[in-house]
Amino acid sequence: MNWEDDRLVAFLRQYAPCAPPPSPGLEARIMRATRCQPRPVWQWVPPVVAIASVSLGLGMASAHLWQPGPAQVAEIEVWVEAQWQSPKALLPPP
Amino acid sequence: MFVVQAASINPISTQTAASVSPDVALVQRCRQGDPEGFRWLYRRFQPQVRATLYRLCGAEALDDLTQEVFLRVWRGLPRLRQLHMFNTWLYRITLNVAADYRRQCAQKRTQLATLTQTSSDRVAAPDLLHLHYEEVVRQGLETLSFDHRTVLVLHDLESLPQKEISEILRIPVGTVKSRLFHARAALRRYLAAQGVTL
Repeated sequence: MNWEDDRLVAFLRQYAPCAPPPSPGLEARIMRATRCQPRPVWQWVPPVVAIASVSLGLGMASAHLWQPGPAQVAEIEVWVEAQWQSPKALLPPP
Repeated sequence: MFVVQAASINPISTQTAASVSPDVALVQRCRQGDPEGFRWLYRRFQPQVRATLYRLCGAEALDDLTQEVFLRVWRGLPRLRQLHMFNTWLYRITLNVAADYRRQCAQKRTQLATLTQTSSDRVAAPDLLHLHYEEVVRQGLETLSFDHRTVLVLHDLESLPQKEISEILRIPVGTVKSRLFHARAALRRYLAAQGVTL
């Protein structure tokens, strides 16, 4: 800063008016207001996402653990083919 | 800026490790929804918030604006990730509240001169010359645009570094310098017109 700026800033700091004190009940009013304002829902988003991710991971891992053998695959294919050819079989029993 | 007075946040400083700033510990406590922690946070930062609001908006709605700032802080704290940036974040909220208020005032065609007229009546000055100069400074600040006034208040009255102001306002440091230059020049012209010799 040059000397002009220095003198201006010194003048401003010396004569800048001070804020009036807060009302006596302001702090209590604000604290009451915070109690009426629940924290936003998104504060629960990270834990929910974390739990969902872990659940999804576990689900996928368990799905990978079960691998049908060739005989089971053939059996499933036969069953699907049978169902495909007779759509009535998919209907619930009367 | 915001030099921590240990006595002012005694309940916090006794509970935290030496490596953790008391302010950060206090903010962390508030993020977890501790109302008593938030009371300490309010007491800690209220004077600074209030001073900024007063210099930008005057005295009329000061309590309401202060309340609005701290309610926004309360609501927004859980998503504050960089706790050491709390001061910058708080200033940003304060300036947003001030800007919103000034927009509302402009819409209602409220004259800012009448808003802060009461302030000089409420502050007892030791002598008339001091009171006169306070009034001149107050009116001089009002002649500035909100952008220029904000930068001048933050830099010259609240002693924030230009880099921090650029982070608060999300503008380049060069723009801060430019606004500060023009704000000072305008204020200097105003003071000269009022017969004030620096």
